[in-house]
Amino acid sequence: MMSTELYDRPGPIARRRARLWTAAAAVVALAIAIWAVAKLASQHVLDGDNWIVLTQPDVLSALLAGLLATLKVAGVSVVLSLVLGLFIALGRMSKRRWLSVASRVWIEALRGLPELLLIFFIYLGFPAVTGASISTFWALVAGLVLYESASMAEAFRAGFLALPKGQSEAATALGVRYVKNLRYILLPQVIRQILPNLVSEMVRVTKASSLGFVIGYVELLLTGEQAIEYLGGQYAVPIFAGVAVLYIIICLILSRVSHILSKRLS
Amino acid sequence: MNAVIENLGTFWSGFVTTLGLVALSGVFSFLGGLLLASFAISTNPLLRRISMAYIGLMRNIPAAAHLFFMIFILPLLGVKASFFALAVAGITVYFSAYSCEAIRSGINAIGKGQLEASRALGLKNRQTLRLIVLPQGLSNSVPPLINTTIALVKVTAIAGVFGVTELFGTMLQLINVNDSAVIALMVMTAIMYSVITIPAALAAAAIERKVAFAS
Amino acid sequence: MQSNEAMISIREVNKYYGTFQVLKDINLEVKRGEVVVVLGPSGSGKSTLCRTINRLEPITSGTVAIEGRVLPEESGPLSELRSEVGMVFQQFNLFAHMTVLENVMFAPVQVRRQKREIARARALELLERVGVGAQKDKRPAQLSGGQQQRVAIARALAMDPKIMLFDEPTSSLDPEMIKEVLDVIVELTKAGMTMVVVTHEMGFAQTAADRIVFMAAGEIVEESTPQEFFSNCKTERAKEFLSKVL
Repeated sequence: MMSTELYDRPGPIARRRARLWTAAAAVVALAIAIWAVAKLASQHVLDGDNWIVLTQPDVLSALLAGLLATLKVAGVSVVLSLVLGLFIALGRMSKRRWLSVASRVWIEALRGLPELLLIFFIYLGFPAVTGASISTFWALVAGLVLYESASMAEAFRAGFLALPKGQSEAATALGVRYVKNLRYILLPQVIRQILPNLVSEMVRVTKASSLGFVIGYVELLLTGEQAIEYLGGQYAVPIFAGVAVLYIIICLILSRVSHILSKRLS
Repeated sequence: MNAVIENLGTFWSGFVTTLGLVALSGVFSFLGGLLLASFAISTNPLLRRISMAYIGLMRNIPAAAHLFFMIFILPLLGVKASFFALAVAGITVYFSAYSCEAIRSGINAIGKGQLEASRALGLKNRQTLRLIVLPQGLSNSVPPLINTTIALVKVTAIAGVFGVTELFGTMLQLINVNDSAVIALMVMTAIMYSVITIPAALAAAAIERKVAFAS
Repeated sequence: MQSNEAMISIREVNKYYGTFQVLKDINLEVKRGEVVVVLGPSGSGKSTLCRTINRLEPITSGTVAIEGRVLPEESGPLSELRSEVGMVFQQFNLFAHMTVLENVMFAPVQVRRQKREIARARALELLERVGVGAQKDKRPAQLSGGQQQRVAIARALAMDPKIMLFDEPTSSLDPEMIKEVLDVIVELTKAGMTMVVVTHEMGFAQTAADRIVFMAAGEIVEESTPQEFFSNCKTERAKEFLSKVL
């Protein structure tokens, strides 16, 4: 609901009053902005010399490499969690009781745990149990996939439940076997349906991949941190701003895509 | 197993710190979200823009980056505060945006007819807002707010990496000194997080069902 | 019971949604105590017309006046005027977070600043009158459609309105509940209330209306007494409409 629907359409007097209020709010906002800028300037945050760092080719290329690493984690995690999520959703809808209960427990348990803890489960737990080592990339991906598999499973299930019931019955009547039925008839429709969901998951995973920072996988945030450590504290704010802007741009683009997809599909 | 039993007290104090972190940043985020939502439904276009810009920016910066900024960068600029306070600030900045969205979704769910009925009876805009929009919108937003709070609980774990000895930070410290009991310590931590999040998720789902039946 | 004094006067009203014209040069007067029933195919603008009378739908040009007072543009004075015009909606629109009794007491307490005991006594009396007194402590969602609509009528009556507007009051009811709601409305016509009723109920229009207004494509096509309208209407469009609904 737009705010315009919350209120009566304003008359001329109300419109004039609203304009006055807007002007007053603008003055206050401007005052706050000026104060903030002055405060930052007094801390030398806004000194041009510091911000020039963002135009240096090696800083830029480091940040872009960090961004690529972030996108690599996000992309791989989304694809894998899609596959795992599909299997868990099928398990959840299975007629075999033990399978559906197990899937349900998987979903509920993983949804309630911090992503960071799941990443550590893999990063520290995998070597502890198997004795083999695991790279930070795969520890991060596996942790994120564990976490996201739960919400993907729920998305898949909602997608399957939204299908007209006749679809799968018709397929069974035609003698199409379970796997074929799934592959050629149900899945394409379900994937179409959860596409917007999938893109918003991309946003979540892109943000969550910043947890790689904690286990030492050099993604965007850790790249920023290393750059600050290397160049010095006076460059902290410009570099952090660069990192934040890159995250915002990627996430906004993805959100936009998700919005367009969900509009087109509905 | 022994490492867990010997350190139950340590776990407990970490758990309490997590609860404190959740309670404080939860309340502040709700208040921030309420403020942003009141901007978002204001007749003042500037306030609406400010609210939208805040949400668009803050929601798309990862939680870890928010905490990194508060706990790593602010002290470089001369800000002096405890890690705990800075963590609360970082989480609040991030989750105010989500609380606002939860509250707004509750307000959006109010039927247009409810507003028309109120207007037709002669209530002024302000009265309609206070007596119809606020009570209905807030009760609609209880389930999404609980879900937001669950997400918040999970994000507090990141504060453990930045020097706050809440549950996750406690776990990291214990793992450092008991590296043979890694799995047991992590399982114990997982159980303690689940004690908070799973009942909350069930409650949100139950309330949602109840609301769905009522309308 | 009718007098010559105009309660509602609608003059030269036009309304556009974008470039689409929903109301075209509407002129209509409703006298004190008169019951006007508005008929017409769906999409004819009859509901929109009803909603312009208390400005729930703003108009593009023309004037709407109640007792000679043109509807104000500012929402403050507008709401004072609205408090004297009762409205009943197709979807009932009872306040979901209040009980039945609270729904009926709500506006007298909040708008008229009546004492709660007085508003409560009056609300109970009205609920009794529309036959849902026993449901007073339930939530709207626990009531049947017919009961909800009767509560909605009681809620509007609690403000002692000078005019009652009914916007398709029975269109979303199950057939077996239509009569219980129409009975209450017929009761009101007998009490001399000024009313504008948009409806598809031809039987009701025939017996309860003082005047029929027939609309098509945003225009008033025909105005006549019910006898005239149903026995020999003048226009082709009305004939076509009647042949479909009767």
